[in-house]
Amino acid sequence: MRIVWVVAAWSLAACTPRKLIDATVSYAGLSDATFGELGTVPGLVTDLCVQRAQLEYMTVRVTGGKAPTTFAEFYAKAESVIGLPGAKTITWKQHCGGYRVADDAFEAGLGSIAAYGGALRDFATENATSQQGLEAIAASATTSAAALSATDAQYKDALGGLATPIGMIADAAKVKWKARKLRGLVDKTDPALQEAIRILGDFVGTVRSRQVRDLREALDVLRDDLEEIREATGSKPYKIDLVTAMMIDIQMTERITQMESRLTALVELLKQLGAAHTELRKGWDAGEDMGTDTLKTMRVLGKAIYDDIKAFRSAKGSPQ
Amino acid sequence: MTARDKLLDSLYAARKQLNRLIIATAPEPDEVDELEVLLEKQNKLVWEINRLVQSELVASAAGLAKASAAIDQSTKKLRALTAKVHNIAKAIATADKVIAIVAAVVTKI
Repeated sequence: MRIVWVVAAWSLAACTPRKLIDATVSYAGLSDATFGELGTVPGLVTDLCVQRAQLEYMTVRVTGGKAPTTFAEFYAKAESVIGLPGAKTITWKQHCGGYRVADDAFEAGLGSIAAYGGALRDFATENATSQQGLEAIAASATTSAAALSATDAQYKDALGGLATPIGMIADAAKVKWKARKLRGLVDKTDPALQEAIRILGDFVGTVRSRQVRDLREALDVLRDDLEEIREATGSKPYKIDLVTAMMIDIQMTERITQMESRLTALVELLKQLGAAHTELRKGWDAGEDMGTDTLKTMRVLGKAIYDDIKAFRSAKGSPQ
Repeated sequence: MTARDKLLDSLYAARKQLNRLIIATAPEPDEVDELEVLLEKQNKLVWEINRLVQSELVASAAGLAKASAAIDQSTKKLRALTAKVHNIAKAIATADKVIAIVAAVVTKI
């Protein structure tokens, strides 16, 4: 009887892919660390738009245009715009608020991938508590992405496709969870996860090439205007204190450069997390013989991810 | 550089010239109305830039390049204008052209 028990225990230990489970938990830890950090930048595009409005306010004030005396009034002032469909007038507040749908979809997409990481860990450690959470978050991401597709919202082309891979991850999790198939779950979700990460990364790239570039151009216009004023008025300060103007220039340049550094780190983070999941899938496909190698690879990628997190956290605007 | 980026560069170059004229022109009190009109045009140009930044363009790269070239021509005209009140009307007409060019590209969404 005792021999049978020992043999059974030995068989169970041999069949449990301990290293692969550890690698899965390790991936979940990287996912947690990544999204814990990304959660600190809500409203990415909206925030960039508000900064753009601030620059426009300063430019209008500097050039002597009829700007309201406070930024809040400027932000809420209706402007007549030629090419707008319908109402033909818009405020900066409405304009920037229009990016909220894209921001929501982006955040929901990140949230879904984070929830998936948490679900994988719970699956690996046989803790079933996060299943409902994953389903709810995936549903929210799908709704946000679908809302983006259904409207004329900005960036709908960039993010509208997010609903499909996120939905696939949620569906795979539902089916494989019930069947207790961790390997099947990793395998099934990998293409969808990679696609979701690609879409999110492309979105960040598009934001950088449009919004951040626009900010830089607008700052350049303000800088030129100040130079024009200096030339037109000689050494006498006119309309604006030039030292204050230079401070604004330095601070805005720092903010823009910091944002660019953060976006670069963010894209790298997403790529590394995608690479980590690919390694996890390969490990599970190869079986426990490869468990040690997968765990090692996960540690190497983990270091790269923590370096990217560090870069994201400490992104500086000024040259160091 | 993409055709969209080039178009944005062209628009910002045009905007800089408008701002230069707005800042450097010193109208008499009875001449400020025209300058106010130029300020309005400059504001409309900003909103067309905003629309371009947020839009998914389906215009061909060649179409965008043609628009950029036309805007660059207008910018050249603006650059040649001295900051005198009698030039403001010319600047307004040129700004209108630039706005019409970009509005046509952006409405092709």
